[in-house]
Amino acid sequence: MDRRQTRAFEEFAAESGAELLRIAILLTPDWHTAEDVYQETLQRLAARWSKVANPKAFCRRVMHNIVVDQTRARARRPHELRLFDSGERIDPCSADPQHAVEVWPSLRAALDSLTVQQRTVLVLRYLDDRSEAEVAALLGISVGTVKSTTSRAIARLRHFPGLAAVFTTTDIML
Amino acid sequence: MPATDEDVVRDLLHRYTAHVHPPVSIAVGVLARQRCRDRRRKVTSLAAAGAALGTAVGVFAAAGGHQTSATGGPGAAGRRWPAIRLTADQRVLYRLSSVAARQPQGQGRYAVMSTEGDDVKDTSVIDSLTGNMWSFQQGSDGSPSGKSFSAGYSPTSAQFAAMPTGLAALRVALIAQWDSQHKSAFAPLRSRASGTGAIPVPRPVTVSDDDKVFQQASDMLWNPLVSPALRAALYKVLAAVPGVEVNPSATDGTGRLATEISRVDSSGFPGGKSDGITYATYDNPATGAVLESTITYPPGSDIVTPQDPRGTSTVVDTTVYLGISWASSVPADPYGG
Repeated sequence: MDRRQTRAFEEFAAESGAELLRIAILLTPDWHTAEDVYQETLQRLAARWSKVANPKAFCRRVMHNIVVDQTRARARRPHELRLFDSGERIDPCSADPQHAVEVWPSLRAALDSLTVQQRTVLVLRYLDDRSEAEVAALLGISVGTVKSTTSRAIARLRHFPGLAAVFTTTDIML
Repeated sequence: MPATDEDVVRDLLHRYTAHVHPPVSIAVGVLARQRCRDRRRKVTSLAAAGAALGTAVGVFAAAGGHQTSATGGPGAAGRRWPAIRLTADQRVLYRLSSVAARQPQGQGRYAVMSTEGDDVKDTSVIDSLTGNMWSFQQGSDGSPSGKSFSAGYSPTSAQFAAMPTGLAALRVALIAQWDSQHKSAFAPLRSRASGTGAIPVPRPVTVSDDDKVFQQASDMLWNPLVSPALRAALYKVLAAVPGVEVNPSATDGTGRLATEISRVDSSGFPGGKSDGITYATYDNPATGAVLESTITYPPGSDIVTPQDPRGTSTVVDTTVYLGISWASSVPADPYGG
């Protein structure tokens, strides 16, 4: 990577880093893993910077692949018990800590209950505001699969304990 | 007010991540590690080459009169090159230097270089007059996987030809190049990091002069625009770097007979884990051209994979140089893309 490419990469990281980390946070079980995924994504992008035509799309695809790999790796390992609290009971972004205490763990648990594909489709559709066709292209699946996956994921969230009330109220207080 | 389930989900996801910002240190670390990984493939930037040449001219002028002046540039003070008895490794490199010096300069404006690495075949076309580079890739499934254009990617043939070929001046020029590149790469990052207040300013990489010389010299050898005289001088400079190991009867990944030149690099962030990376080139003993370059990351280095998130295994990053030819115009995409 020469100096010009380094500068372009740096600008990309500054402009898109927050977007990417947000996606990583919603795709992974905790903040530490999210930062690791974000870092690994940037590392792979940097290694191929001169060859990547669309860095944003590349990062989303790579992030999805990393999360899939990690999920498979975790499945092969013996189950681990947490010996300490992850410190994520409260949403640090919320303006209302009381509601954050109630909703954030439920949302996190609800996302953890989804498959990687369901989770990725939800995040790309509703956080990244990608169209169904774009999500299909990014993940290499059909538009019909995107639609059905989205529908099933939302249904699961809707009926998840602790989130059901959010879907039935007319306003969300987080 | 969310109206549908989709709106509720959108609102939830946005609200929970609205104020997330990644630590600057992550991007800084990525770039620092990438610099290590790129050393084999990276060539000097035009600005760095200019700065180095300027420094080298000054040092060369001082060294020409056998003066040892502290104003001759970084690392120049007191350095003399006495007659020495060459070791076996150095003799191999000197033979390689003689072979390289006898090679003809490529004829044609464009150097066409075929490489392979990470299951991707790559054909790079470098313009010897402008340093512009076109790159065509073919994926592991045989289909075209991309092409790119980088303006000013490499120093031009004229800029390489203008570099000093005297050993003392070339060594100083290589060190100056390294320093210039490092300074320009980290200045904006340090500036940005210091502007955020809470995030510590990244500390510079600690590298010895020998590390710098080996990195820069081995960075240049793969480049087909390097003149025979400069290539010959680079081998002699490498012969004088402590820690360089030479295996004259090695083979590259494709079984070609090669002279292996390797060195364990000691550079890294203070307190970092990047020490112990081995850089190696496998050079054709008949021409002095690079056949393969490898970077070997030992267990415990910063290089991790999803399968090995703790970095407990050895990772080898390989680039195989399949061939170099010359053309008078930019050829079409050889992979049909």
